[in-house]
Amino acid sequence: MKKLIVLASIIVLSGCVQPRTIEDMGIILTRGVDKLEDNNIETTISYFEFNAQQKEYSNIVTGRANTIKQARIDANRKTDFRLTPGSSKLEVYGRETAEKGVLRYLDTLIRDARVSDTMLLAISDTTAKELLYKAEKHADVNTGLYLHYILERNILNNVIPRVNLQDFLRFYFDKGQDPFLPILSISNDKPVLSSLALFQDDKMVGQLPIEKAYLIGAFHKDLRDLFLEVALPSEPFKGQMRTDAQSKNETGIDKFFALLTVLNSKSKSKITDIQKLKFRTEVTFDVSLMELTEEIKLNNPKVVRKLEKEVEKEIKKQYEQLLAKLQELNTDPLGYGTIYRINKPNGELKEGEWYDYFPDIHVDYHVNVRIFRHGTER
Amino acid sequence: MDVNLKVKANLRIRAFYLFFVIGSIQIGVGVMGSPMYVFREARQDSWISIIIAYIFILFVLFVMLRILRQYDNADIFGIQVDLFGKWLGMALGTFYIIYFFVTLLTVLVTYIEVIQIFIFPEISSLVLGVLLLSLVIYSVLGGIRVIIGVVFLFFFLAHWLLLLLYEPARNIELDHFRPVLNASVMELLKGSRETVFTFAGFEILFIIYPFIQNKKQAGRPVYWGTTWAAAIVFINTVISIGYFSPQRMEEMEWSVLSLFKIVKFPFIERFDYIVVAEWMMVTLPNMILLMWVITYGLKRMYKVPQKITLYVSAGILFVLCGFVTYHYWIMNLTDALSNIAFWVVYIYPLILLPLVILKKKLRKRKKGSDQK
Repeated sequence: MKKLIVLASIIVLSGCVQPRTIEDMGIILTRGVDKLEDNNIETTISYFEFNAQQKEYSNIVTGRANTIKQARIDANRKTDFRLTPGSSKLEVYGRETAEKGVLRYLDTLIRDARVSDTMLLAISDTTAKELLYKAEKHADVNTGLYLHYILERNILNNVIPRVNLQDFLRFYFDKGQDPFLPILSISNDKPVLSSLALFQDDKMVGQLPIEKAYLIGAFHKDLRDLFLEVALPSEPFKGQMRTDAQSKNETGIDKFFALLTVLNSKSKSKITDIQKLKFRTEVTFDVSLMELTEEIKLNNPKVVRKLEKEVEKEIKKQYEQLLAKLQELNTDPLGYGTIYRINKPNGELKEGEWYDYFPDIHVDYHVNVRIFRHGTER
Repeated sequence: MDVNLKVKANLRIRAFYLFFVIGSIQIGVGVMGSPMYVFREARQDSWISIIIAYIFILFVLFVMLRILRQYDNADIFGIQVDLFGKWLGMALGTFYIIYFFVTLLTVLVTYIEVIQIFIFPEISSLVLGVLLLSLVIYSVLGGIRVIIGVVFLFFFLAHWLLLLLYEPARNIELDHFRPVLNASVMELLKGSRETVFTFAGFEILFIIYPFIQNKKQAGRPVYWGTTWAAAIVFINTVISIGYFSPQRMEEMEWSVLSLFKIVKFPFIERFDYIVVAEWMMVTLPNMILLMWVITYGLKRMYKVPQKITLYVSAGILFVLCGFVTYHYWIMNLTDALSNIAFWVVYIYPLILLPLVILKKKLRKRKKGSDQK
């Protein structure tokens, strides 16, 4: 009898939890956040609905309010589904919003235990609203996840470094390190991944073309399977070229291109002189040669070595340009501040202290490129 | 009240199970939030604080075993009566039981709060209280052997969670630990002090000791149990520090649970939900053991049938868990408890040992003089 009562109460009591039928839920997949001129927030929510009859699985609504959560409730008035953020995959901020600072919008994501840390973040070149509507129009299936897939694909291919919510917060809160986010823009009416947004604190201050994003990526992860196109001068390879001088004259440029697959990369930075803020960074790329716009005979190890040298020079140049640009914007996504911090006697950096030093640092880049293979051709 | 007690042979347990008792009761709700508290004091050197705490606990356990071995088959209630006389001994014993009761309340309300934060924000504390307490009552009714069985089983049901830490461990930033040894000795000790609440619970040895069949072998499982618990707290703290930024660590409650937010499988998107639910397997043995200690202690001292005290204390807990709902109340309760636990669990045995030895010597001398 006693056991029966216990059993009955357990069964009955579980009814106290509010039921959430999956057919009634609008699962938020992508959310866009824009700050309006009257300081209100406009959220654009792309959500997934379970409906056997319909072909379109996802839908899009917008809402306005002073807080993000309230904007969601506002959006919820336009749909009969209950919008839930538990499976949110991507959050997009409009460019102007990002320039004013994104931390304020992240606060609700940090606070809410039900938001996943693996959610990706991105910046829209225009407004988040426009981008989401364009994605909705363009994609055939999985419209709510279209943008997320674009990013995920490119993160997997190491074109851009991964920045999910947890990564962003770590970059933001770690002193001597600034965050960065991918920018999605609209070209030919389609959303495309176009560049990398650079942040100072939580404010977007500049951007970097997507082709250069790997330079930052190499600092955070060992890159694999990344395709890399480098422009090289033709001059040093004159003797080994198969093509006659005629064709080169036609193009009129004294340059040729090489496409390399990065098999593996390693990067190591250290401080060499803490007083003078001198750093030394060593980056190694193990590559395999996939394509050359000029035919060069690679049968001689010396030629391969020469090619390696030229690629090294080019990447080193890219790094130096990158650093100059970063110093001008005063943002440090490469994390030199962290290296400075851990080598300081007390190991602490004050808020914003690194921004006083960063424009004056000197970095000595050493790039090693090793061409392991060059396909079936010699 | 007898100082030494006779335990029926069918109620005795092998010393081997002490590993699971100590290992389970030390890992409870405390570990979910402990990295933040330690980190606030010792910063990136928190892991050293945990090692210091662990060594101190080993020492306390050693002292506790020494005390218990001075008697044939006594527990803390009997020892206190023997040392301080009936009235003071009983009062101290009652205080011990109240301490266990508050611990049980803390475990209960903390776990309920975690469920409310992570899974069901709108569910009533009373509902969860009833569900958890009915499980506790059910197990405690089974007696000591059933309790040990539950502890043993749940140990394995809960500890596979450690494997999931692989994913956050892959994402740690080693720079967060540098420079090493930045904290002063004082800060390290303060950090160790913050682990008191997390590591408390091993005082159960004082009560469960008479039930052990092969007492001579009791030492090893006890030490290994605490080593296991310390290792888990150590691993969790190290991963938390590496994974979260220092600034976030200072403000982050439940950092260990948040570690699981990054774990993702193709068939389960959000593993942290599973982890919070699974954490019941960690807290339940805790609650069962504490409840058993309360009922058993009251029976031992006041001869109240265990069933009555079980239902009464479950009733009181049920009412209280409906009241203690504000987050800062729970925090205050935890703080107060950890202050008391420091003295009761960590310092008291050290005071007790010389007294016990003194008493024994006096008794011997008395016996000697009687014989003359």
